[in-house]
Amino acid sequence: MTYIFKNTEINNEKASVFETKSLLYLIGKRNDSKEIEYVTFDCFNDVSGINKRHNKIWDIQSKNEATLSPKKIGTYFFTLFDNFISTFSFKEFIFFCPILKEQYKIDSKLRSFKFANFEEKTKNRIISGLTEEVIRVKNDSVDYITKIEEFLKIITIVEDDNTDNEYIKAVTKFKKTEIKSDEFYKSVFVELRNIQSSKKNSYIENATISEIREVLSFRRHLSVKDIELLIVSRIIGVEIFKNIFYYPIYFSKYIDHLNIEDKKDILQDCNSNLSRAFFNKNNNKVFWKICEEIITYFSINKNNDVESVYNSVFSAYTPRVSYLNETTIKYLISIILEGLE
Amino acid sequence: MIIKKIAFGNKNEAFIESRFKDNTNIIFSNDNNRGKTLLMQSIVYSIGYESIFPSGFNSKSYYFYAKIYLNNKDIEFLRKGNSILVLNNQKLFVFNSISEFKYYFDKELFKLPKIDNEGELKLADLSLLYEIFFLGQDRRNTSNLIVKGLNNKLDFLNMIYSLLGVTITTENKYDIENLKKEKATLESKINSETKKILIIKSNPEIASFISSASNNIEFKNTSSQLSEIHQNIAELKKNRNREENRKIKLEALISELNSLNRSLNEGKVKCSDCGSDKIIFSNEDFGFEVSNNFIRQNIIQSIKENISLKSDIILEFNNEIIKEQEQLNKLLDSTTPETKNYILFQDDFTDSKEIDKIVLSLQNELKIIENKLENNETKIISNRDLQKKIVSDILSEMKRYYRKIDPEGLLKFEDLFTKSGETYSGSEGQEYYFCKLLALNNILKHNFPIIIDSFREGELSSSKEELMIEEFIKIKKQVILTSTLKKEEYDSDKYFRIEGLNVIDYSDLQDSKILQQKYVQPFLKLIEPFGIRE
Repeated sequence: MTYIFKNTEINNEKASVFETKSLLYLIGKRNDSKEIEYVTFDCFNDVSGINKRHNKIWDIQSKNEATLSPKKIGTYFFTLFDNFISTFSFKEFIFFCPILKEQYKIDSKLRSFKFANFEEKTKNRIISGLTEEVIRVKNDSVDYITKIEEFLKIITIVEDDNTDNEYIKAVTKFKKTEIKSDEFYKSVFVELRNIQSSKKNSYIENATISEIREVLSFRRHLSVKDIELLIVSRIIGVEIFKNIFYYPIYFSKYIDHLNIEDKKDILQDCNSNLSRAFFNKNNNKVFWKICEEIITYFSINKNNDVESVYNSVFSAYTPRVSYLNETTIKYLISIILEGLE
Repeated sequence: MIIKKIAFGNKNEAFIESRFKDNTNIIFSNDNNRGKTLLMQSIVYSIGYESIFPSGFNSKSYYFYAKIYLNNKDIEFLRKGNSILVLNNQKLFVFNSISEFKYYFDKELFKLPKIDNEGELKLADLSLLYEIFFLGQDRRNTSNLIVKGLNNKLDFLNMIYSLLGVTITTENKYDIENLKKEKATLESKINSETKKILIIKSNPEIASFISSASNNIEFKNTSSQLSEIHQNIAELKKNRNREENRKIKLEALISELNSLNRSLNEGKVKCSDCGSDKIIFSNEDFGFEVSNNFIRQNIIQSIKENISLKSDIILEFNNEIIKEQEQLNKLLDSTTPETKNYILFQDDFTDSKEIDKIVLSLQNELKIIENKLENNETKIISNRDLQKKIVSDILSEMKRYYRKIDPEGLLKFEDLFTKSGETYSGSEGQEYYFCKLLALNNILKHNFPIIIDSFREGELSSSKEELMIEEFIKIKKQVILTSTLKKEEYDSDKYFRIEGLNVIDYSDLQDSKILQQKYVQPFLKLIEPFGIRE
């Protein structure tokens, strides 16, 4: 009952934009996205999702080639197929690709479809591509025909027709309608791409694991929660000082009794403190922890009383960094609360 | 942008107008003093214009409300004095100065054009912007702006260029804005110090005046007025200083943030095997950076914008302070020398030699700054050809309209303003403004309504008037006009016969009594969501 890592990308090239898209598709665009707890990179496949109990794997093979012929599609199905016949419980097999030629498909409007949606001629060419690749790589006398048929029944083909922005927006409920800049989403996307590629720095070819959860020891994964946290914090960051006339309504209870000049001072202080937090790379863990705790709290609880949120999450908190004081944290809670509504 | 409702008043009297439609509206009456001008000025006043109200109307004791459809939603504005409240998407924004409001206007409502202001690019003032679509009744002058503020004709042109995307960029060798501020402070310091010398020299026996003056009744009156003005000034200064303080804090924040960020740039780790600098630190904890470069640059940019807004607000406060001080000077001018001396010599100072020294050192400082200012090289980069084309496009559009309404007319449009000294009067002026506002509308394709108070000023003939109304209807956007009719015109129901015209009759309003008690309750209800306690 072991799994041997093969076909991993040994070189240290940047993960392609396309792989990042497939990652975001996996954790944001699927009906079952919520079940996914971790995402691994270049272990089982380019990108794979793992659930909380470590007993299901969502397997994605992505190919960003402008002209994917049916034969090539078949060839590229191989890693998915190879996982299919492994002993691990893969839940979904997804082939993530650009929009394929219309004449290959029966219903060309569908962006996510099963093998049955291919035209008969295309089907046969895909099967022959896959079969050839199986024979070439496996090089054994086993007859895989039935396995291939079973596999083709469950594989899903997903065509990419979204922009980077849309994928990122899909990952989190956190909304700020004011952000109009594509540049911002681009920057978050690139960041995720770089993180993804840095995760591949280790060498695991031919490493062996016997249980799904062991893959986490390779540190080639990210938790979905952290990705969401990253995106939310970036959204908050880019909004700091953007609109000094605006403050989250849940914060108003702390400043409503003040005159306008005192209000302005407090808001400027809070914004200044948050910007310090976003600039101080050396102390990032404290800030991450705070953000994480707030977001985790709201993922379980529904509560729009900032005071009680603060009391239940930070009752034992003593500021280790001067700028992350009580008022600033309450301000941050209010921002997150409003964004999540 | 569509004006939906305008109201103004206080707890004693009020007026509400909500009959505006999204086409050409004409408000008329059979006599003057029916409040049309008040209404028209209120429209733009509520959104930040420096309105010219009819004499005898004390705008500071009223609230001005506007409900305006903009960016696909209704937005409500409430202004009193220089404070404006905005209700946008059920969120309330409070602005204590027109500059703050302007900044919000630019961010959230309409991207304001930027114009060159003494070597710096600044957001155009709202009063300047509104001149592209609003024409009041009073102080018309075809050779210049109607409400100048700190702007001039050139600013108006630059604004037009900027609205059409022909922007001007400037490059400076020194931080001119700061130098200028320093210069101004030094000059005022020198001024006040020299004043002291003058007074000491001309009044060597001040002390004796003071004792005799203190018993004087006139002194007591003046003194209470003075203390009021001083209080105003103190309040303004307090607000200004707090803004100044915030601005300084933000400036310090920028350098602090840069230093927080810098510590990580010192030295880089490289892999000795392959030379790659993509070395990652990895442990059990979260491995993300706290922010990315885009976000950091964005924060810095936003802080800088905030600093520039603060400078504007400070400038506005300073202007207010200057106004109060002028008031103070007037008061001092009209009082007897004894009183004046007493007031001026409340500050104690020693002797004139000491002051001479101070003045001298101040003057030296001033000289250094003046030199820097002189040596500064400002490069203003602009596209002259495109600018010329814009002006000529507008002029030919003006001429097209002019031929339509007055084919025999003799006016020649050579510029957006007439030469100074050459002011069109009467109906000529009216024709000029008509052509100009419509031409600007067509060339700029702006989103604002056209608002003209007394659009047939100067005995404009009935046939021309009808031609104009026809053209207003043709542009298919909101137009608000007012007009006073002669009796025979009124009796003939002239406007009711024109199709596509929304006619609002003010003749029933009593002379000079547009503000009425019966509107008070609905008015208070209207402004209730702003949470005003009147």
